[in-house]
Amino acid sequence: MWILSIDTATKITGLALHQDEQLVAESFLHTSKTHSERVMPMILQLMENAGLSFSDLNAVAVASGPGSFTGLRIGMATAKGIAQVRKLPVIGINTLDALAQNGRGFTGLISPILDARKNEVYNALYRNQHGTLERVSDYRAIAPERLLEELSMSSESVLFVGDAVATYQELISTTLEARAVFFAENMSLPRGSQVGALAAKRLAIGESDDLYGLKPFYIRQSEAEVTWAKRFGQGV
Amino acid sequence: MRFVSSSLADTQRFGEALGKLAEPGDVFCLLGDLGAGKTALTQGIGKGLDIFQHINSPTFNLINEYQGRLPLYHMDLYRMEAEEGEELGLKEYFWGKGLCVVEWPQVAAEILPQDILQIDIISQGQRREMKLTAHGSRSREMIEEVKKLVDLEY
Repeated sequence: MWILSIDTATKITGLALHQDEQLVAESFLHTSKTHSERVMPMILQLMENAGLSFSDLNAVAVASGPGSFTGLRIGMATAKGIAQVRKLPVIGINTLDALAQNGRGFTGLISPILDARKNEVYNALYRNQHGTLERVSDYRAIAPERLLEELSMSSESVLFVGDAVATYQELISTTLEARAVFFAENMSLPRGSQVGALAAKRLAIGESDDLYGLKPFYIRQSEAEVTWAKRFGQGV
Repeated sequence: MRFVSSSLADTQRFGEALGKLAEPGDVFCLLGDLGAGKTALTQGIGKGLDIFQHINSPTFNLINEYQGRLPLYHMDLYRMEAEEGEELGLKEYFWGKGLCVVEWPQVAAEILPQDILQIDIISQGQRREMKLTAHGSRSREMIEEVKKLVDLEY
């Protein structure tokens, strides 16, 4: 079973090809070019490197959010387009669940943080439980100060991964001191292979999502939607 | 006000009535899912403005301009980011000399004029229900006028 995974939820374009649960090829691009420009050429190149054509694929996985609104829509549209044309199952994987996988093996709390703009991060907390990660909080958009306040209550070590680490590392270190753990950047950022690893697990137990029902998981309304509701929620 | 259309032709005739009433600076905001008939309605609006060119979906161009009795600025903001609205000079269109028909207007919520005519299109098979909501005196007047036209024609 070949699975193509697409993650465009952040500024990073992450792709992976898994054969069942084994990672065969991966790409990672962290530049300022837009996802819409680079994602299809990258998919073609990755498939060519692995010696695959679209007819070899058995499933398409996508990071379904939270993340950048436009990025999520590009990933969703690309994954669904391929899945619909090739009549393949599509599998949505929560971006935070995938990112938390970077910390598999870590024994304290795992706290993925993604830049959510407006001085907030997308976050959920995870803990290793018998070799798999268990989520121990809601998915949320939260101010880093509030998250740290919450984490100050416990005495556990906390691993931070994600694209918001660069912005808040100093604040985190000052607040949690030695309890804060960081990985090198290459281990901290989102990878297509983490989306693929979780997708392979779901596929192995016969799970997939409805092509038309699968939607980006934004967590919160866009600013535009809030403003729209405020100004035009009611007629006169 | 609600208008129920049972065919593409109905939708376009309703659009035509709206187009006949349009004045410079009017802004119609169309809300509805993909395939609801936003572009079909706009084709009717174009006819009401005496535009004889074919009106296409502006999804890929963001803004298409047509010249008729008034200029028609047909926009689809689905792919726009809120910050880009300023760069594109959307305000100049909204307060300009023509009629703006805006598909997926939510992203421009910050910079739209208040007195928009909101048209929600709800689709069910061939049936289309168009719900008109006024957000000021001009759009309220439009709704009263279109009621008369539609009553006369149907």
